Amino acid sequence: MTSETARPAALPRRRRTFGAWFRRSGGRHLVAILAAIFALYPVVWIISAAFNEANTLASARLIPRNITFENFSGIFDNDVSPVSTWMWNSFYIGLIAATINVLVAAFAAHAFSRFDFRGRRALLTSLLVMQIFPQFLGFIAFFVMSRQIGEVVPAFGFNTHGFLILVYIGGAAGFNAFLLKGFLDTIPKSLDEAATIDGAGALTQFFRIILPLARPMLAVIFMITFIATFSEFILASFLLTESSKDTLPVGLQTFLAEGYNAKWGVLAATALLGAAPIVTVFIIAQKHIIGGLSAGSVKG
Amino acid sequence: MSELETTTMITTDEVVASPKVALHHSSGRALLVRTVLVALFDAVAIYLIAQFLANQSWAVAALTGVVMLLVNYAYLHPRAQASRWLTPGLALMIVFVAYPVLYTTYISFTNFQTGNLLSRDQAIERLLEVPIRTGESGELLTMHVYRDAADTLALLVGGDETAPYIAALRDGPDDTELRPVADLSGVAIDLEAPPETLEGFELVVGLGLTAENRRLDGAAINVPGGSATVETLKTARIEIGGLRYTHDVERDVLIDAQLGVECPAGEGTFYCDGVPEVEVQRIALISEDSTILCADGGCDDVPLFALDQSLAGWQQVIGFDNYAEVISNDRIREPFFRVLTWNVVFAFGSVLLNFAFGLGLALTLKDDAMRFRSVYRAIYIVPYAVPGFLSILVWRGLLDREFGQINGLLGSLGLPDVNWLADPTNAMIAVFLVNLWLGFPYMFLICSGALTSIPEELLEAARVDGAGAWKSFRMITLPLLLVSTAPLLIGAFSFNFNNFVLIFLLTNGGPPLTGYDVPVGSTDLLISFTFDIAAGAGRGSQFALATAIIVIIFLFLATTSALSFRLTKKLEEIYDQ
Repeated sequence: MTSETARPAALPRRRRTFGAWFRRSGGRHLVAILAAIFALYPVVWIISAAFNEANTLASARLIPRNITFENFSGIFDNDVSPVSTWMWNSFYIGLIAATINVLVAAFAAHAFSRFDFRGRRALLTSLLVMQIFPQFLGFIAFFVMSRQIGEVVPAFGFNTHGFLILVYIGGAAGFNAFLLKGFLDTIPKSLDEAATIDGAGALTQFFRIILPLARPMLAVIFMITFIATFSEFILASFLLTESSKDTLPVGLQTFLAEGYNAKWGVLAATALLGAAPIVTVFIIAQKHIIGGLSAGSVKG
Repeated sequence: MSELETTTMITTDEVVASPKVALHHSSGRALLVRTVLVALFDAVAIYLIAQFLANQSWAVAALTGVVMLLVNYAYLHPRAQASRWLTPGLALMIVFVAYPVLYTTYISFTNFQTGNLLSRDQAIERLLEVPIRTGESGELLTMHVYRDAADTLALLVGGDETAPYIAALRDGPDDTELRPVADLSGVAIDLEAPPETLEGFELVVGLGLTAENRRLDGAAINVPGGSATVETLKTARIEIGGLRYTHDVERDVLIDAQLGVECPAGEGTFYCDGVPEVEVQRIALISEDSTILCADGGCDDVPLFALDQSLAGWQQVIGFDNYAEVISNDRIREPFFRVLTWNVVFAFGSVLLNFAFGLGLALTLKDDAMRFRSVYRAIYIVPYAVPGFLSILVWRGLLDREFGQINGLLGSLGLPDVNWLADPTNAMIAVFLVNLWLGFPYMFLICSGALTSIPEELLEAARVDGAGAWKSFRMITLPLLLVSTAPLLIGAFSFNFNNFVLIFLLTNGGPPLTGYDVPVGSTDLLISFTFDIAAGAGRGSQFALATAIIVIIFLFLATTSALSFRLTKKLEEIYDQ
């Protein structure tokens, strides 16, 4: 059913009869709509539950009887749940980690893209090889390491956000440097040469020429890193022990572990609040983000 | 370490020359600033290294040293241009990516687990602080003074609660050594009529006693679990609650004052001999891997933690024991291979299912003339964009047996309820279903991309040659598609192989399986299985066992990646930039 209908440059012919239209592409639309229902099924439930006054799982219904914002205020009411604390923790940890990470990755990418030095190939290879091992598999090593560091520098010890941020910065640096290197290679070297002739130093060249030109890619990498950090589970769960320090995934998981029914409304509101900005950005910037993601990192 | 070269990639000679000239002229002040900053960095680093060394955190100290050297080289060596840009990232990669892999591997060869978290010195230090937990302080004891030919004084003490004991005077309050001059256990001593001589010591009485007044003033002896201090010439006050252990460094034996036994050092801890059987914890006696030997109410080879869980052992290299445990212990091997099998089935099946679904959808939407195409695309991106942990938590609610909307939907279609998460088979189906929802958009996107790059002429040619739709799909579209998506499919396989969040949040590995030495469930992946072992869901945190399994995962991933690199020759493309 695939190829015989794929006619190049279909003429802007208005549809003739419904029957003919259905034979031509109705089947396709049927499949596409079924897939869309599957894709949106949980989303619809999240939205309806988030605004449903009766906020338990048992009483959930597709069209709420009464619209309410109570579930959202529940997020910010610490008597109901510390969700807002967890959201803030995840947000600021992700923000700091992703910002520093992108900067560090840009430095490294610059070195790989603009300098030729001995060991360059070996370094690039080892960056790739290290990507084989997901960083979270080192959680026991990080546990020991954080305790040892904490004896000397308590701010970066076990059960601190400081250590977790450092771990996140280090974790994504290699891969992001890799993605960025590819992009920097596409910026013509003649620009650097011109700047050199004009007397611009190495730092000026990087901050005034390379970084501004790489802005779209930097934004994409920032987004990817931020979302990954925001959602990271294993390390946050293993390295943080206090509920008030938890990140959103870990906090929500323990919060829901005691039972879903009564907390359904708050979960739905949290999910909506957490996902809506990201989904919006994704749909607006889909081309860039998907390009970056399909270059290697994978979800699902 | 190889010396980095600074030739820029700029090609013409004049241009290469000019930045160097410019650098030499302009970098005087910059160099000064850089030197000051590096010096400050070094000061902090050296302080940290000293502290880490003092705490015996050797590896972290070494790591700090490596970073320090790297920074010094990069920012002080005049020709290290590239490494100035590389160093921050490189240092972070070494510390937070490479080192954890190496350290994880190291732990897998040790006995690191609850009870063995400390280094040997730290463990002994802690043991020497353990107080005696029995006995009564403050009893006034009868005391007799003895003296030998070398003019050494010894005190015989005893009372209603305290068995007779004779020891030489201690040197001072800090002297904790027991100096018994005679073994009185099993000897009947009448404190009202003490023996005239004991092992070369003679009883001191009368004027002789008065003459020793000065030496006896404030003097004391150490007794098991405490000390007895002279009060008058005839009495001493006992103080118990001293420290339980003393360490004989030369013989490497721990002396237990509370039980009055000696404990030679062994693997990971000290092992006491001659311990009364009642003191040994029952769980340690009936444990399968117990090596305690008991006879006539006394036990030998009793590890300290069999006496008290809080008594620390130490971390020690034990070779391949953890790997041997995974292979040879039935109650670990069985769940391990069960989990491994499901893990491969899940990762492979998920990629296959998601790919088929995504490809089908991409083919359906391939026609440029199709209306609402961009609307569909935008809808399909939604599952991809929602942070995974949120959608998984929501799915778990939807799959709830009693209240979940999935069962509600089935109910309204007249179908029976399904116990999604508590039945092994259903839980596996649920895992595949949720992962399909999470993963099909990605497959749809990459397949859409790859389909557009297949030249239309090829398909046209096939059509002219009389190939049907199915045949041209199988012979042309699919092979070409697989070539371009293979690396991404391998990536998806690796990702799903370690898809911890899906399993942990959706089923928590469950439903649980019982009868094993490790916590395990029907849908556990190796990584969630490992996490539970390390987090101590079973019998304390078995870190070393967990790291052994992680190293096995490392090996598996390395093999998969090596094969995939060979398959796709990705590396070559990178170098051919």
